[in-house]
Amino acid sequence: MSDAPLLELIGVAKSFGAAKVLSGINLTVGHGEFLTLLGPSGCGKTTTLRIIAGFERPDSGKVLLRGRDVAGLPPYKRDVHTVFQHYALFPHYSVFENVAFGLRIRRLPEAEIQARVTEALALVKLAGFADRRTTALSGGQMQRIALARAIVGRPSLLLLDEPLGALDLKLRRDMQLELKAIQRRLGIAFVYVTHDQDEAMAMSDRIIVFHQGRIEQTGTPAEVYHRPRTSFVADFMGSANILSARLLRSYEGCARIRVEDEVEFDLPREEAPPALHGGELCLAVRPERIHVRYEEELPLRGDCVSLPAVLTDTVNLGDETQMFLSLFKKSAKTVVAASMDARHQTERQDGTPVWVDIRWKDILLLEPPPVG
Amino acid sequence: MRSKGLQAYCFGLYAFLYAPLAVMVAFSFNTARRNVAWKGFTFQWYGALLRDAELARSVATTLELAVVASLMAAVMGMLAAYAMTRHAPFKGRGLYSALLNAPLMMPEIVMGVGLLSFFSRAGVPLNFWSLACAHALIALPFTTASIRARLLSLKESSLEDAAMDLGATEWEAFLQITLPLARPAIISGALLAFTVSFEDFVTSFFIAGIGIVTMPIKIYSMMKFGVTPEINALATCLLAITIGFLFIQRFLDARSRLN
Repeated sequence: MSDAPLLELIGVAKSFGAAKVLSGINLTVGHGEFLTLLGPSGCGKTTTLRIIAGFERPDSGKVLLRGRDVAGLPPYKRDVHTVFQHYALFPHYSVFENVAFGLRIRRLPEAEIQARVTEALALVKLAGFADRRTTALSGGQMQRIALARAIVGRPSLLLLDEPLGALDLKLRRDMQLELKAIQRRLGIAFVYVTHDQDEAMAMSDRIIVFHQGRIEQTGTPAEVYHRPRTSFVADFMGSANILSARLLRSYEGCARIRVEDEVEFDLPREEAPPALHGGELCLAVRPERIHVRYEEELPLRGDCVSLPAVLTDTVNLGDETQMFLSLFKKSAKTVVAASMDARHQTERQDGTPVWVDIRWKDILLLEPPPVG
Repeated sequence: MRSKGLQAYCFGLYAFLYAPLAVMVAFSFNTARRNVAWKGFTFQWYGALLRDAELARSVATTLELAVVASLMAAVMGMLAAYAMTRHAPFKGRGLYSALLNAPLMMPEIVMGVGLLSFFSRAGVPLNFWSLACAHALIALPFTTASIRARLLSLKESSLEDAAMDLGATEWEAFLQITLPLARPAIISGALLAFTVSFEDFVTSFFIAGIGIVTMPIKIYSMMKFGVTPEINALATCLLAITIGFLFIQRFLDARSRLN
């Protein structure tokens, strides 16, 4: 039993009436792991969390907690606690009683309750707040109380549902670091739901990207960012230029690609392109990986593709300059390049012919989005 | 001008609504026996009220009824509201909720006749308790609506989920979270139920058994001999009590929304 993962979902599906919310969700959470469920709103990540907590019962599939199926058990029979999106602090209790709630339900001795609540409040840096009313606290303080209340019972798994969603940006950044530090210190596994990819990148050991009730990709933040498997993931994690492409021929270590049914080039690569549906695939390039070169400049050195383009617009965003480029004659699709280089900040006239250099390794070949 | 016309309309409307009450209050302090001319100021009719033993008994009966009926309506309203807000949508929930509200829409005379024929068919004696049950029935929509609104907003805040998540059973979560937080709404609903029972005439008139005289019935029988200053004084007292109740109820409602 001890080598079973802490939590495992196998083939979990859930519908609300006619709406299919989750289909075939498989995931594992290791002991002490920080796992993030990432996706746009309505993608099923919160429902997954509620199934793990026991508030929803899956229509099919298994929820194994240390190898034991708990899919039919109510929330109070699982040693899994939740930090709710809007904190859900009990307004008629003091801060101390809020944190003590779970311990009182378990009828622990008073001395132990005192000690553990005091310890938990100190951990979230609210040691002096025990006797306050929760209704008089700021959002950040309520968030800390909610966290203290959830960890005081020492669960093996903590679920967090967009816990920083209601905080302003500056406080969010601070709380991200602090949450991560607390998680490391306690060694409790976190399952963290968010729609903010920066937050997911900053905190997680692993990220699971959800889209329309399915898992799009699972991996470390670096894997998901640098090697997205689908166009949805590429676009959701940061931004990406997504172009339609077709694989014409595949030689040993080299693929001939036709982009937007117009521009062709050879792309040497080691791994085979993803599973294809009749050669159709998606090509993605991140804006910051596109090097824009004026005619008088030397090409990028090394393994790259060089394509002619026309500069259609330039937008200055302080440090960063965004350049809109037209690469294709038939397709109206523009490509966005982003650069921190000062030489792009001097205005170039729209319509200037330029070269676009992209390194082979920065060209991502992806599964096309499912049709329909 | 538009606003002039509106002002005049509003003034006229409020005069129509409140002039009778003002006249009634004024004449309760009138020394004259007849409600025709103002003769002088007196408290004597209030004194007469206090000395009227029969009236005092009817007031006591009415208060006892209102207390019992509002308690019953509060308990049943809590259960009904909990069933409608907390459990997975069950079959016929719409019908259930419509039936609960039916006594609001139903002409009281229909309720009265229906209850009377039901009680006599079923062999239920017409006494204090059957009347209390009838009052609880009329008051139930008020308590249910008040408590239901509160439970819905509580559900939104996931407080009960949080309690169960921390190890509380549904029953423990109900006792420690739902019930204390719903208390203002329960009291507010019970106060409404109290006033509904307190002033009910039609239903009571049909099913009050022999010997049960509620205050509205007593007033009705007093009126057979004309509207006396005693009745004015009694109605004035009732008015004061009702306004007091309304204030308490509004205060509790506002507080239950704030938290």
